Amino acid sequence: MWDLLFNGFAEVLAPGNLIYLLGGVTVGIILGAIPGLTATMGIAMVIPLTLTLPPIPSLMMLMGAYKGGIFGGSIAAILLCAPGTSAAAATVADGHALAKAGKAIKALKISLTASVIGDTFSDIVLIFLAVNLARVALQFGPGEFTAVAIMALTIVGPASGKSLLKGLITAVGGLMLALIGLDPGTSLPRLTFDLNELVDGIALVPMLIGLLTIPEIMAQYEERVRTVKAHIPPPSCKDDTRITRKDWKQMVRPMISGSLLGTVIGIIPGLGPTLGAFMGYDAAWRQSKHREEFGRGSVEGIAGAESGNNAVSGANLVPLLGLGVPGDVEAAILVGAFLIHDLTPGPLIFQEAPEVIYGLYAGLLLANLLLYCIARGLLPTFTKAAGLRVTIIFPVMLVLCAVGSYAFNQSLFDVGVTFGFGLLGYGLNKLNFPRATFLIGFILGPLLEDNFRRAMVISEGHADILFASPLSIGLWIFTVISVGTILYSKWRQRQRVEALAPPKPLESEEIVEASAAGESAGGYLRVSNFAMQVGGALVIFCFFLFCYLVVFPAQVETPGGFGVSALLFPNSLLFLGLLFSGLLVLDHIRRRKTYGYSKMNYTAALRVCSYVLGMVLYMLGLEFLGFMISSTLGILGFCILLGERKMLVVGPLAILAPLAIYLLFEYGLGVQLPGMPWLDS
Amino acid sequence: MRRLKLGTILAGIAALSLVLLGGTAMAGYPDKPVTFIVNYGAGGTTDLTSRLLCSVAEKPLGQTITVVNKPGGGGTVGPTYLATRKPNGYTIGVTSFSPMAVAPHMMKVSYTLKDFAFIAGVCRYLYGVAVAANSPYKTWADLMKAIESGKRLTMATPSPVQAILFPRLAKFTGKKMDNVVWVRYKSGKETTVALLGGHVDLIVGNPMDIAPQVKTGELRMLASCSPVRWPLLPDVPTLHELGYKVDIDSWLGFAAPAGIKEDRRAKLQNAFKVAVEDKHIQKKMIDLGMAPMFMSGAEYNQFCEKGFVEMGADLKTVGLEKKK
Repeated sequence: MWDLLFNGFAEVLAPGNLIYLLGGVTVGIILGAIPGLTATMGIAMVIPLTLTLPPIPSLMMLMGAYKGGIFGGSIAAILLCAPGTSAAAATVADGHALAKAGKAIKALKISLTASVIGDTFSDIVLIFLAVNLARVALQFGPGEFTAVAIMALTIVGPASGKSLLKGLITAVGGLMLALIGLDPGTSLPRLTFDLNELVDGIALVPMLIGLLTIPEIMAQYEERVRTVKAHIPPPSCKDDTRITRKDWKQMVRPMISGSLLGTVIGIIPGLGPTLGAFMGYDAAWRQSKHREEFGRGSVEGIAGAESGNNAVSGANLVPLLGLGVPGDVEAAILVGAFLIHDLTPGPLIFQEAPEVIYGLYAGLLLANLLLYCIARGLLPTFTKAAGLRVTIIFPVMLVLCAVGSYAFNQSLFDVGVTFGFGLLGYGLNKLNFPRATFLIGFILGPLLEDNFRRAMVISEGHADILFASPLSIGLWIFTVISVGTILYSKWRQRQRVEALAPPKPLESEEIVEASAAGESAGGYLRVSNFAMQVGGALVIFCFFLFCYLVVFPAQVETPGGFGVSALLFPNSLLFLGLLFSGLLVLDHIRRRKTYGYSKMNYTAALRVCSYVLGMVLYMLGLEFLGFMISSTLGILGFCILLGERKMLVVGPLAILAPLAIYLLFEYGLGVQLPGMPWLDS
Repeated sequence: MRRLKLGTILAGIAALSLVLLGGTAMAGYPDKPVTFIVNYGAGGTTDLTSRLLCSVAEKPLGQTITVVNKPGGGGTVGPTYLATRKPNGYTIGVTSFSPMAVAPHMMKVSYTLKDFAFIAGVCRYLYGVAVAANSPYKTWADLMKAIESGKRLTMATPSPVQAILFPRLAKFTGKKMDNVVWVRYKSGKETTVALLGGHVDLIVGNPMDIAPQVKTGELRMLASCSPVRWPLLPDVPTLHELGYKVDIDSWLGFAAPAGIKEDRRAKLQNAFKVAVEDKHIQKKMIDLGMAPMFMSGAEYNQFCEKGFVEMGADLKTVGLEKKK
């Protein structure tokens, strides 16, 4: 085996092969760093280039693009608060918080180090244990996957932040959103409102960009930003740009647990890197002595999440090589690449073409090294680009968000999804609802429902299939322990808070802060926080009730003979939603004395409204004027709205930025952007 | 690389000016690149097969073909888009059997078969029945015996298209086969994993999901339920050969929007005929689990019409029909 591996290294280090690996990693990092362009897309785009290459260089290029893409996602997450890929969603909160404190480079370095270590760990596991571990993964049947999904859902606890109840409500919201699409039992469309675009469900990436990034941009419009300031402040001292010894100490344990969890998740087919990231984050939180830092720039959080998602990338070749089935979407595209080169993925390949396999192994290890070096080289450029003025960077970012959402399915519908979820995210933010739990629900919903429904069909409706194997019993025990620790920690927290000080208006401070910036503009509205909070909770309660009474009965078909009723799972979610939002209303009423007032600034509200109007106009522009014209107008409009007055800067920017994006997509990536309809003869 | 990009940009500019000057520089069809809409995502079987065929069809057509993916809606978004394009022969695309004859029964679509002028059927999707290597069913006859004895068997498939096999067999044999229970998975790969792990008894799948594991000896294929044997596993008989006049036949086909001039359609049909008959491409298609074959546009239209009626009746019997 060792000689084969050494031969593999010799093969890969040949300059002809090394160049493709280098190219793949670089392309991956850059694509990953653009919000909306995922690692999957990077691989899909590299495939045509590999058709004419021999197997080893083309696999090098594909794997390089894959690894680079998963790390690249965290660059945009940290610098722009826009997860470049869904796997970076868990990094957004902490990474961007650090960046805003002037520690962008530190955050990027932590992310890079954790990524490379997680990745290398899982590659080593792959190299030594591939075939054996693949067998173990087969133990996971519908019953076990149901237990995995429930266990993973307990991440909602740590990700909820201050209010567990609010976290639970958004998690239920995410689970409900995942119901849209084909019914997993019957494959009839469900909750699609007769729209073809909804049949495959809401696309994750556009939703993600909307939920996490657009609210960030909108917050900028709310503030008074006439004063020109940098989006990311420069580092204030040397420690801001490097990983200090203290950071190292904090990073070690999250990286170990993240690498382990990510590897396990990668080995089990069908879970994927996004879950790896959230599990790594969750584990970091559980071990941490600084839980209060999570979500506000925690070094441990970034290390856990990033080692978790990259560890998936190596390990999900385990099922591919051991069984011939891909671990996730990215690996599924690799199958096509193997087949085109006359290689059958699976254990046979070790006999048919061992040189390719060991070349691949060597390439994987080398790709990590290259990833580290290339990324270190690129970081200053990215950081500098993100350090531009807010008034310039945010309008361009909006255009990028729109294009990124469009590119995946080449559909304007997805741009609408992004903007729609942007508004939802803004609303959730205002009412202090956590958004991460929404994503967790959305990602885990299908895993839970599909497998639960399958289990019920297979067992003819007997619940004992969920506890049938030692594996599933073990998973359930973990779940109980996990829920127990969360409840205990919340209980301790509450005791500590109550012991320290009398209840104070916790919920109001941030809202006051947000509008205080516009103090001088005059024209305030005094808003009761209590009314806002209770109103929000009531709206959510009514939404669930409306779904229960009107929407679901009409939009969920229930033909007989396909296991449990198609309405069982959706209605259980609605029941939980009603319960949690009802409890939230009562909780607010119980604490009504503790709320203060916040001031609402008319001009800020006006700016936000005009921004929303601008987004709608931009969407219409994309449809009717095509990408170039509408983006030029869009950037002009948004720059002016943000208070940028230097027309000599804005003018060229409004023309050059869309042109650069257009050329990149049209010729670099082969994605056609919306053209001018009247030229479409 | 850089030179290449510059070249493409220059070519783009040249093409653009050609389009603008199009009125004066009249040449025969096609005088500009043809856009080809694929209704599934990049990298899948349908996408790769279509790209392979387009790359060869460019030569007899005398123009480049630009492939664009419009995935979504279970493969219906692409045809929906295609149906609304101008029928000038510059936008064509995939109109495979599933969005043409199956999806309209299960969801609302805005097109009918009449909205398309079919160019050609270019290859068959293949289906077969497989069990795990350690399964007690060594042959198709063993399996049928177990089913007829009333034993409850779980069958995994990603869509009703494959699951419809047993209702069809029941109709043919006149026996009840409700004891074969359908468990739906999201993709063919997932059904393979479930079968390997012993979580279901059998699967109905395509060569990509079955052939590699048959070669390693982990799965056993009992029968091809396409009308032909699989090129990748030529020793396994078809259901027809085993005495059951039952099959699942699904094709990859291409079309232009209805209203295209017949000479243009014929030119496209001819170009894809040349492509399908290319020996090198045939080998690649077989590797991707397809059976390369050719049908004229008219034949493919008939095939879809007939399949539409049959699928409608079968989906109705199992209760998988959209509400009116």
